[in-house]
Amino acid sequence: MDLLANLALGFGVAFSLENLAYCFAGVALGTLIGVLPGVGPLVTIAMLFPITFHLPAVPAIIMLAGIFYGAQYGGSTTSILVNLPGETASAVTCIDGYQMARRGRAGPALATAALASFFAGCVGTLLIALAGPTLGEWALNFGAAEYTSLMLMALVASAVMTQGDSAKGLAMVVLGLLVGVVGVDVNSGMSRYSFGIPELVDGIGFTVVAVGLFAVAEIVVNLESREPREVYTGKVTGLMPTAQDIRDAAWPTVRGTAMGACFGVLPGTGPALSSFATYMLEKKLARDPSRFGSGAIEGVAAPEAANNAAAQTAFIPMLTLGIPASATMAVMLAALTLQGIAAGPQVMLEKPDLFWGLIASMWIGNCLLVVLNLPLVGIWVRLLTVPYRWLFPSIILFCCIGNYSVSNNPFDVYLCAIIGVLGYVLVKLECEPAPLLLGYVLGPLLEENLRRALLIARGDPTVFFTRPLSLVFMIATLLILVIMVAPAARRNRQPK
Amino acid sequence: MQDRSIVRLLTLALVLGAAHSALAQAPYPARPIRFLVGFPPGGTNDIVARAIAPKFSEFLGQSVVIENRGGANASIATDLAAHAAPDGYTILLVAPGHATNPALLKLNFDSINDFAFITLLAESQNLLVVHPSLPARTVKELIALSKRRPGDINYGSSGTGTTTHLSAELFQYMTGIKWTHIPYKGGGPGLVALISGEVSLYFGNVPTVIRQARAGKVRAVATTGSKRTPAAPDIPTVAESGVPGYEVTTAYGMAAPAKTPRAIVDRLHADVVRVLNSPDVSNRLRALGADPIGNTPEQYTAFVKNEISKWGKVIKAAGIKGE
Repeated sequence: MDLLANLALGFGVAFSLENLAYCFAGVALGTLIGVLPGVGPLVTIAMLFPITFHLPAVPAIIMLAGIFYGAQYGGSTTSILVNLPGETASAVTCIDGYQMARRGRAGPALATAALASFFAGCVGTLLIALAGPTLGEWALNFGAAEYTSLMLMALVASAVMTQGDSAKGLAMVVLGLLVGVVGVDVNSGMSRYSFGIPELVDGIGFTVVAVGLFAVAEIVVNLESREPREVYTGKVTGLMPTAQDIRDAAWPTVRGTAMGACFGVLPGTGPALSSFATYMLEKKLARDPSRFGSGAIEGVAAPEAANNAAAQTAFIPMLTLGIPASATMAVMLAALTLQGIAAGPQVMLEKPDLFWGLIASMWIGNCLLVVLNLPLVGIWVRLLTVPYRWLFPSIILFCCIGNYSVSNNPFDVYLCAIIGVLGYVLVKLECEPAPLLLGYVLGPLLEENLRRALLIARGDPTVFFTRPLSLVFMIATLLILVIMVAPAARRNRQPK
Repeated sequence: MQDRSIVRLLTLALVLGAAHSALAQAPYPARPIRFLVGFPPGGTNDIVARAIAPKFSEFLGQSVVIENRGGANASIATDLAAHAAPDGYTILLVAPGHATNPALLKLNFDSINDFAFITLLAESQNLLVVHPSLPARTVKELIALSKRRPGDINYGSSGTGTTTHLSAELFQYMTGIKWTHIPYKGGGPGLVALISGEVSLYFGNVPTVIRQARAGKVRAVATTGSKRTPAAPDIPTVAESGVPGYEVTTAYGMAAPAKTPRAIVDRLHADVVRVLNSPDVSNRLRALGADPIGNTPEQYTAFVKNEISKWGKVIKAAGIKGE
């Protein structure tokens, strides 16, 4: 069979001692640097990318791919341990992962994240090998109208995420939308809500918002309690997931992988959307949704799987079409270009050793990640036994370093502090930060695509219902609305 | 040996402490040089800077440290450079937006007089590509088609005010035709839109779009430079295909704050030109679609002045609103 022969070629290339060493170095470096918030895969790759100038093409790309996976995973570690999301995709992991850590279950949470990521990585790699070109072409069916309907569906479904009071949830989504539109409007080129401050012209960065809302606000709340209680339960119950944990996490991992693999192929939306979407799905499917938000293992497994599957399939548009789906992929594309390789439709034929070697090393990278991280779980967990009065200043320090390093500008650090205050006020008002973040991510995308779709259709709104894929999303949106409203209506008719 | 270097260090410390002016007498460069880049790591600007920095450090005998200060189309970094001490220890990667920002944004600096321009590092051009379904193979056919269907053809761009946008605006301005602008966030999504047929026309950076053209996904029509690009000598320029005088280039340059002593500017100029002439750096730049230039400070200053006035007119005529 062709696939087997190709994979054999790939593993033949990647399994040389030299390439394995580069892959390992990449994964280790990526994990180390990825632990800093804000210093996600993009910055890590861009900074280390000159190192690869002096390497031949195959090891260079293998090392960059290793850095990419490592950095991606590093963000999850801090999300779980100290509520510090490194990048968009790991913000969702914070919600339940951090609660698990507080209950002395940081070990199982970290191990689950690693194993779920590994599973998703394997599936993603296989998918690229089997159906890369087909999926790449499929992604081209997504135009502005399709994105608009998809975003609308996601926003409507996000109502599911809110705990209890849906008015507060809605308010948070709208607040997120407002934060999201700060900066230059894509369509007109006008600045909005920038108040003449040049730093706001490009909008408020994701790291600033997420770190402020999650990490900073959490620390303020913890310090407020009069008696200096330890934040983490002293008793750590086991480092590895129990059999029950694995049973609970298995299906969410599979569903997360499927969602992530689909979203990853779509340029521009990728990992963030997929982890939000799977989280909502799991919460809806769960027998007891109230467990979500207070340490449900499904809430860690599903988004972690989704985010890793999406990270994997994000390579598809780049490798098969030569189109970077994200800024990180753009750097990878530049790296390929500098090595004299024109990524695109011909790369599979012109450079089979590179293409299949990369695919094999993706799998090896994922594998090394697990090998590297499972033994580290014990060390990470021990970190939590450090008294909080020493732990919190270090977390704050990392928040500052991370925010500063995004654009080497102290302004972002101040802004993060201000958003931290906002986050604290929201906690006091018992408002969830997650819907705010979702509004912040999806709102601007929805606006951009809605206006673009109407611009292309010359103002004809029926475009959302005449394009088949878009129509499917619209019908799904309607169904979600019905499902959400129906139980409420039934409850109203039969008062308790 | 060791004693002597300690003595040297102590002397240096004394000199530093005693009189600040003494530093000016120490042979330049005496400490690391800050190289400001107006975009976060990863973009073309950053890659150009990182391709140059290692050799540049080697030639100058001091490390050249890249500092990414992203934001407001590089105007945050440019502002910093404009107001930095003119001692040769701060230099700026002049981004392509330098020529268009005065017309688009409110700036706290003078884009010409606040700088000592060192050299034009590299220049890249765009390639006009169309979706295969658009019945136009040449610039003349495209103009004729656009005249029959005014406002009907959609063109994509990587954002308002970018060269992908302004290439099209200049084209319309010079030929009197009308297209509809559909902006995207970044070059990736813009190119996807062209390949999927959501827009029919796109002016993209040569290396990125040429491989799509070679794969038959899009059709190459013409390049925007004054000369044909070495990367694709078979593709004509817009200027030679019926729009004489049309030229759009994406220019990356190097500048220091105004009032930087001429001797320092000359030293930086000499070394950076040597960097551009070294084969591995020039090959790396060419792979990005950027042709290394390395002209004199005078030629580069004149170039910047000319570009600013040209784009000011186009932006005004096209009615592009900034802040």
